[in-house]
Amino acid sequence: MSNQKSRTASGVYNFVTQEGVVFIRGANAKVGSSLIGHVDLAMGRDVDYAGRLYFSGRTNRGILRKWTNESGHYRPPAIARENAGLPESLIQSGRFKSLISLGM
Amino acid sequence: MTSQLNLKNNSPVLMNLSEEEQFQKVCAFLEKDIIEALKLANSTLRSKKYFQDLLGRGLEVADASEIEVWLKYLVPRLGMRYVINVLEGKLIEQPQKVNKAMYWLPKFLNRTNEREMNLFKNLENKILELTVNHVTV
Repeated sequence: MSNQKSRTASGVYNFVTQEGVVFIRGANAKVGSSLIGHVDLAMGRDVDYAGRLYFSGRTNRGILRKWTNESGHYRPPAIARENAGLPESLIQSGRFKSLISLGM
Repeated sequence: MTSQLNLKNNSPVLMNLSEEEQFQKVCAFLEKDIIEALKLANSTLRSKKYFQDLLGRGLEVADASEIEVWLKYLVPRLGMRYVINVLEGKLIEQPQKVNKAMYWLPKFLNRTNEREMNLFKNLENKILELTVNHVTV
């Protein structure tokens, strides 16, 4: 695309990892009226992992604060986190486990 | 191109309309920009019945990702207990729609609210029973 620009990441992005490559898109990005979900980002194909990236904003743009396994389509288990190709120390999972699985 | 769906531009205009008219505008905006439309609903609408209607629409049209946005804006207005009751009512007829919403719902649960937590757990158990029975049959 001729009008692509480089930007420093800030805020929340969806990501999918496919064959070692991480594809990202802003969590509020849309096509028409529809939000671009993980399945769109993956173009309907299988993924190694999917979730969200949370970058710092304003003063420290571009720094990955954390990432999660939030994906309504793929629902990747936290245990498979190494498939994401992202720093494991920054994952924050568990909010999307059911209360039954959490033993609550 | 500048979007015409700007919350700051539209909110004051909508304030002069009746609530029913505001709701119709919100519904029209939903066709163009879900997030802005739901923000607009939050800033203009008051009656619970409109948010109940919006929840029904969200459950009907949203996919596994989008339903999160609907819940984000509607759970605070309707209350978690109401949302869980609606989902429970749809469990037999539309289990897939309920399942989509259930994935995101823990994100909006108030974990210090025991009643809310129990309702959620009960619904989870019902879904589990339904799944087990379905597999058994």
